[in-house]
Amino acid sequence: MVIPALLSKKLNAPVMMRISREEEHFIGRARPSVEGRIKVGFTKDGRITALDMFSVCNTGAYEAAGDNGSAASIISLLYQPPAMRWRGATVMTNTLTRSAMSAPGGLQGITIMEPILAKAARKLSVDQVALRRVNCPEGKAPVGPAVKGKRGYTTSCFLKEALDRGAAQFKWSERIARPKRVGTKAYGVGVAISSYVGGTVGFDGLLVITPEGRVRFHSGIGNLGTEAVIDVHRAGAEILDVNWEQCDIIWGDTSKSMPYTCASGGSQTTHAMTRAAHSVATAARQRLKEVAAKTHGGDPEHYDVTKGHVIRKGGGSVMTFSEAAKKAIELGGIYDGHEAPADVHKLTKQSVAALAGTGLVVSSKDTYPRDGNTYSFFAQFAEVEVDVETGKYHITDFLSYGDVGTVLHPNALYGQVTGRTTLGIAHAIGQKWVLDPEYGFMVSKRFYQTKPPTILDVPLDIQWNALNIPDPETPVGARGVGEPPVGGGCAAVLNALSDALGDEIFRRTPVNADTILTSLEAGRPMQHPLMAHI
Amino acid sequence: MAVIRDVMPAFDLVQPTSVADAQKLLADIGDGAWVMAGGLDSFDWLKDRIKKPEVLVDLSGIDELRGIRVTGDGIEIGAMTTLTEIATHAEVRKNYGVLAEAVSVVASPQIRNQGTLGGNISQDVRCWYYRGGWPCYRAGGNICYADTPVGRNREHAIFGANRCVAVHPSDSVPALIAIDAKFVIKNSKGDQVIDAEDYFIGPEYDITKINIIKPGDLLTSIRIPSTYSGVKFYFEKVRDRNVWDFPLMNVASAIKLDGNNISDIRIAVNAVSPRPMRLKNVEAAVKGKPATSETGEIAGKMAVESAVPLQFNAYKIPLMRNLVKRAIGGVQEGKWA
Repeated sequence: MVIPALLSKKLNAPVMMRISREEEHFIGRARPSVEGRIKVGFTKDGRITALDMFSVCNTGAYEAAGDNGSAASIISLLYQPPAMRWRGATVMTNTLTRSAMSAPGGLQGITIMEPILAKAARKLSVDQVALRRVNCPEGKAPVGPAVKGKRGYTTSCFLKEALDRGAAQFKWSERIARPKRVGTKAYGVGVAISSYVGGTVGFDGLLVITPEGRVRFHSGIGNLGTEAVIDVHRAGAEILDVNWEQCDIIWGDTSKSMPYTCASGGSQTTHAMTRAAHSVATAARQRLKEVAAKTHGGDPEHYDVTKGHVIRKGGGSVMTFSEAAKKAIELGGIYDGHEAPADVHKLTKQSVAALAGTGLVVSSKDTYPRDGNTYSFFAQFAEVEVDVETGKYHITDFLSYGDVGTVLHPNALYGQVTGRTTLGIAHAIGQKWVLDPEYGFMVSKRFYQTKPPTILDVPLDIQWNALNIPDPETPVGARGVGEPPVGGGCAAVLNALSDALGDEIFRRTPVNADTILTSLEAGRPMQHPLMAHI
Repeated sequence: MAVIRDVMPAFDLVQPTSVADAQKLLADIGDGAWVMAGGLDSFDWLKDRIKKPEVLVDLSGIDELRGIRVTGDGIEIGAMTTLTEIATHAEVRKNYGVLAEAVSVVASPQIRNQGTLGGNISQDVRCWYYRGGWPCYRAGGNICYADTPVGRNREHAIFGANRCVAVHPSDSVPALIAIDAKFVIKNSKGDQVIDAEDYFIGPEYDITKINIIKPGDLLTSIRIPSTYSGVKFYFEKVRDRNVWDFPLMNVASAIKLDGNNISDIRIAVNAVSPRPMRLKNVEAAVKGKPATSETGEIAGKMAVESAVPLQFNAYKIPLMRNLVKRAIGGVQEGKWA
């Protein structure tokens, strides 16, 4: 992907790289596959006592991916085994290139582990939701292996609440009481828990209050369509107590002077950049109070910022934002961007310098404390109807219930949750590539062969909800949400299928009509996991 | 890959506006002509640069090849009539519902708007080795890449394999066979009207061809006699995705009933063999028997008796058994209490 950028630089003109769908299969990369064997011990009430996992990751040609270890790490978090051993091997193969895809390792780990939990619940006669509830993380839950004798842990986790509220919304108790088989149709319901990382720290915010009285948030976030590029700055507007209509978002081009910003990946943006927005808006409040003190005398703490004005505590407006911006330009230095805070990134310093003299120019680094690592969580529920004569099945209902911290923007969250849930569902129901191992040739080269899901392959109305409980380790309370629903999106469907058909049908994804029919005929899984690509 | 893909190759384009013009052009051009209907099969081949015709004969400008006409004995559908028009046509829906149903599940709405009945009938197989440009038997080579111990053949044939194991992918054809459709082919010698199932040829006859069309031939219309108008129909397509997918298998039947007994039946299955299969032995066996799932069970077992699965398509045997059963006795519907 760097080729058009390099050519464009040489030519000083736009360059487009055009590749065919076939070429996409050689250079576009796909998710590394993980195949594993897990032995799990349970108490009678379903609590895991120990877990032993061995997994092999096929990472394709050229370079190793981290999916294998990540799969084990997410399993250690989601099911909280008191004792766990993971052994893994990542193998480079003479197949096409692979690299991290949404929820790398998380999807694979959850998809391997969840059907085992479903089977265990059936064998132990423990309710599926109850079994997950007794094992799932809570609060500052440990994750991953010990490093120098100490394990990492989450900032917070309210997955039990998500399971409880999700089960109530999905009417879990009513659904499991329904008949499993009517005519040629078998019905099943499944639940899965899911998690992935939800945020990073340490980036910068940058805003300018202009002589016109506008608040300009410079947003370096790459807009992937989630609107985080805009939404995170609502936090800044709230801190400054200005109407959103008084704010402008400057984005989309580094020539417009952007602060040091997280990459739009790893589900980190909402968390990382609400912190940066909070930080810079808090710094701007302080600068406004300092400007007022320098103009009208007294100590900055005698002033406050409210409703787009700087006021004297206990006594009325002393400056509008417009007046403060003009005064900042007069004052220069740290106030109008001729100086930048020492701790902001060099990229931010360049942007601040470029904006110098345009108003009250404020930049700030997110230095808020955080105890633990940030993860988001989902409880996910699926219902399927399987035609046992054709093997064809439909997902008749699906609910993703999130523990994602404070909800910033419900519609954007809806898009994230249902979109990534659909990605997970896609892995369950058909998305694949097909490689001929004899010739090392990718035979699936087009969408009708790789089968990404269509709108008719997912429930008409995927349900979603969120706890809206703030994460206590971040000032706005919001966590990232992109990747966490992917694994459960897949596993809840698999668990619903095994509820409908039994545990001896599949040990792989995707599960298609052929998987179901041949196994129903034989009474045992007929497609070996290593033969997923058929 | 050194071959440039996804870019149209150079060819001469001719766009006749009448059947007579098209026939003359096809006769003049001979072997080098590529006849294009809706373009949905053609453009794959051309943009992949696997087929490189000298002259493309685009039929889209010939109005007389379009439309559905009610005749004295049934209906006649122009070969360039779109699948959407057929799926929504009142007479087709009323009396030949099996065809309306079959064409309404072809691919996707956009493809049905562009795709034609003639094109759907005459499309080439979708074996991914063959379509990928591999020099297989069907492409004129001397090997089948799909029929090896590790060949990826989930979608391939359980019947009629003869070096080539590709299957015929059409959804409309089984329905047309079930209602005894006749295909009209024009060439310089005149008109030829043949039964639907006789339009297709298997690899044992000519491994590089899928139908009897020769250079200079033009499929102009599909005649559907009233013989099976309004009888009991069944159509089902099983596919991985609910839209935009070729069939893993499909089945169509037309049954005349005397009370609850089958007095006459035609049943066809596709995506199981290099050519669409009419199940004449099943038809003969169930005539006079009640149209029940018990009769269907017997028929289903009979239908798959000589099936030979490949490494990854054994599921097609129970699938065909069950689809044939349903095509005779219907589906035992599930409904939640």
